Amino acid sequence: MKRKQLFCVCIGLLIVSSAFAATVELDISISNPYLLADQRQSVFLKVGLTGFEAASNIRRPGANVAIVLDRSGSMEGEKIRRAKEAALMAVDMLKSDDIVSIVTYSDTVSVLIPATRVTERSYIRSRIESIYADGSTALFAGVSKGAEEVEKYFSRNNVNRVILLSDGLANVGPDSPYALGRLGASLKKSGISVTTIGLGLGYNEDLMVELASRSDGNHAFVENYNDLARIFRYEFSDILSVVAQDVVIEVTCYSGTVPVRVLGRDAEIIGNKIYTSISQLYSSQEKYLMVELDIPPQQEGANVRVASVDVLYDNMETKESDRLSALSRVAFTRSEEKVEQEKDADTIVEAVKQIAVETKEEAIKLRDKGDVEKARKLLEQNTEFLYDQAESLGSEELEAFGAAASMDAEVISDDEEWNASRKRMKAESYEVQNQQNY
Amino acid sequence: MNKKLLIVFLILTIIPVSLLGWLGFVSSRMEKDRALERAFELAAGKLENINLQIRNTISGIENELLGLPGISDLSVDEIRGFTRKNRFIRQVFILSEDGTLRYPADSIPLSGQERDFLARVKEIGISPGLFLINPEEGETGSPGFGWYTWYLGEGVNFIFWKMEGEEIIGFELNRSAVISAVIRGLPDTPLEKGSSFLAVLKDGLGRTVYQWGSYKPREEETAAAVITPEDPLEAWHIHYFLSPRTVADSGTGPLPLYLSIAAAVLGTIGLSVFLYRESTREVRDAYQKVSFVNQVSHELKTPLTNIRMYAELLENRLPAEDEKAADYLGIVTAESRRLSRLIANVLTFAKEKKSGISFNPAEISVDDVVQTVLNNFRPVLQEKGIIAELDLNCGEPVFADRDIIDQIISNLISNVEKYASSGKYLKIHTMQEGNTAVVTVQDKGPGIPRGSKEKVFQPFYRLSNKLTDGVSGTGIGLSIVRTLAGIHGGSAKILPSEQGTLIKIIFRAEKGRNHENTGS
Repeated sequence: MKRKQLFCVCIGLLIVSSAFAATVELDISISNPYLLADQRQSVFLKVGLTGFEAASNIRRPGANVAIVLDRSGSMEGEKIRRAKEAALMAVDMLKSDDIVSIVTYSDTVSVLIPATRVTERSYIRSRIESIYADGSTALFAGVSKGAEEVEKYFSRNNVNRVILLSDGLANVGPDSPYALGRLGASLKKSGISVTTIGLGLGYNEDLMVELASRSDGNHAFVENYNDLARIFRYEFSDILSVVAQDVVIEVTCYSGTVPVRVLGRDAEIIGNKIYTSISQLYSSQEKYLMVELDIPPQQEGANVRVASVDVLYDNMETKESDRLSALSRVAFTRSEEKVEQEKDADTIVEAVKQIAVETKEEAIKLRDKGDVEKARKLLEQNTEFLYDQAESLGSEELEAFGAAASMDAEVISDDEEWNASRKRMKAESYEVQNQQNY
Repeated sequence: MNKKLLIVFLILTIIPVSLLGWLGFVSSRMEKDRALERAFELAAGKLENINLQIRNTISGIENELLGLPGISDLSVDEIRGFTRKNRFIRQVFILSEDGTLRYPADSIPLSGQERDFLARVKEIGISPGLFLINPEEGETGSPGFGWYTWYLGEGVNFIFWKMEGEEIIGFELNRSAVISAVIRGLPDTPLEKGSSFLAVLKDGLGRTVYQWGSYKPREEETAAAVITPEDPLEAWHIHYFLSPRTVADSGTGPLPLYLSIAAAVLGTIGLSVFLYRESTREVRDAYQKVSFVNQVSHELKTPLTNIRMYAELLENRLPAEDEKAADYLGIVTAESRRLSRLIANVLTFAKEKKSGISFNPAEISVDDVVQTVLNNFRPVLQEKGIIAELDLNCGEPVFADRDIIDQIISNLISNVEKYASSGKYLKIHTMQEGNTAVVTVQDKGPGIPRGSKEKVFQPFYRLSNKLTDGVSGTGIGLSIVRTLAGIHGGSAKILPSEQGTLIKIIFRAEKGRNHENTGS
């Protein structure tokens, strides 16, 4: 577990639930706990939630998974073979009382294995073996039918997930990133997240990322089908390590503090309040909400409450709802030295990462419009920004990000590589925004 | 001779069979039409079911939204709270009685989503008039809820509304969630089990939303049936395609029909064969008889020849005064001659069937042969009171086969004796015409009916009437006459005659050049 140094002036950490049972760790931090007096300033508030370590003596939550496989014509050959292998391997990772369903789609959708407990492994195996590839890509319907199977055994005590593997463009049924995003949003409300795995260079990464992002699932770009099994392993390890679900975060700002924007995640800002939710927290992993706050000027020596955070979630170990709260304060000083000295480097590093991702997304949009030169320039600026921040914060992580950004600046003008590069960049962006484990 | 019979039976077979075939074709076409009709009915029925399933899905959404607690009384935060939870709701709005939006409204801080909503609905100018047919009258009798759809962005936008007191509560729905729910309510397509249909759900812009079934229609193929779902999908269509195979298979199909036609054809053929065999049985029986008699006849020929020879020798030795013995002996001779003729006929007939009769011409006088034969018949003719008149003009020697001529004349006289004795008259006329000889035999018997003039030349054909009944005969006499005349380069036919029968025989008879060879 990643230990956090807490530089906050004040953090009220209130644990409501049983003292003995493991709970999620709520950790809120502000990029600059000390601010210069008499100035309007922006800070970043990070609301971190770290899943507790799953106790080995307690049964892990059940998995209720629909594996939705693209079996369109383009999957023919080695790809479908590897996809089947990966699905078989995934089924092997499940316990007998987990629930699995297999849905395949091409022009039409086939519920190959309706939601069932993983008891008849040889039957499931033979059904998976029978999959063959041909036809088009009815992705929307495939996901819908997968979700239908998951809903059959839906339980708040299970991890309910659709895992979508596709190598092509959706061409039957709704096919826009927007439409799939709305579907994802609806599924998230139903407690189902969709993990999207893009295979090869033929799929629409915008659509796949949108679907994953709106439903709060994972996303991976698998350029080489040899990596498919590995990604499936990651995904299923993730599913099997869920410790909390349906995490609702509500942030309230005080003292005239205005929430400006939320970085990376979908969130609602209404007046002085911010609402968001995270579908799942994994054992010993942190997910966070990064908010930019605008703090009005205060006199020297003032110590004000800027935000309070309320978190509500389902504890998968105790099967109970837990509530967490925390408070964040900021102190004002005239000493620039003090401000610099007290800054929270870890929080700033995360904020810088999110900002860099936003810039990268901006560059991709420019590139899509055909403005390669402007896009390249933006990425070069991004590299510089990351290197500067890496130096001032002494962060190796940001240095690595800077190196990656400089590589992005190079490949963005390479037309031949662009398709693969774009898919990789989108996947990397999402990884940062979603604090994805793989 | 069997050819005609065969043709008759072929006709008898072909006509009903082709009639049956035609009937089969017509009724199979009718069956096909009926099958098509049934297929369309089937498709329409399936579509009704599909429509019902969609209706159920929509009702489910309606009920879920109608089942929500009263929105009017909730705080904005509470409304936002369940908007975040409900998978169908994208945005809630409240339209007050005076037509203004009470929520979301600019008077309170709004989320980005709420501001987006206001921007979206600005275009349609949201007002009670959109939902109520007659807002002034308070909509008495209306269910108090309904759908409103409009097109913006990628497709249809759904608003479900309900009345709460004087306010209209509107739910702007998540389009993808509605479509997904509709899809979930429809069947999937089993992977390994092929089906013979394809159902396609298309949106208002003609884009495929969802399809199921494994039939692949042709590019231009029109659906067997199309249906339009109800509100709020009234602009959508479901197309139901059926494979031609299903169309053919629906109902009983043509197999029973084909089977019954085949049975009818087989039956007809069987019947024809049976009838043909029945009708030819007499002939076959006769042939068998002849075949037997033929074998026996060879054995009989030698003793008979001896009987005749010794009877004739004895006749010469008899004292002239013993009339009675002479009479008896005459009968023996005559009867044995008759028997010889019969045997000769049988053998000739059998020979004709087997290999052909040898033709051995020699220089003879036709009139001599006629005289000799007639002499042989005299006792019988006398007994029956038949007066023979001769007009012989063929005395000159010609090349001819004595045996053949003998046999022809014998048969003709024998026929007169047997069938025309009632006329008591026989006239034989001979004459030479160039290289042919003509012999006519005339009687004054009952004659031969016009229609049978050719048939009498067929073997075993016997005119069945009172006259011939009870008269013994093989039925091959005239057939042999014609055959022998043919072998002799001539012909035999019945000529029209005022009374009785007139038979004309023509055969080659070249005038003799070598008188010395007579008798060989």
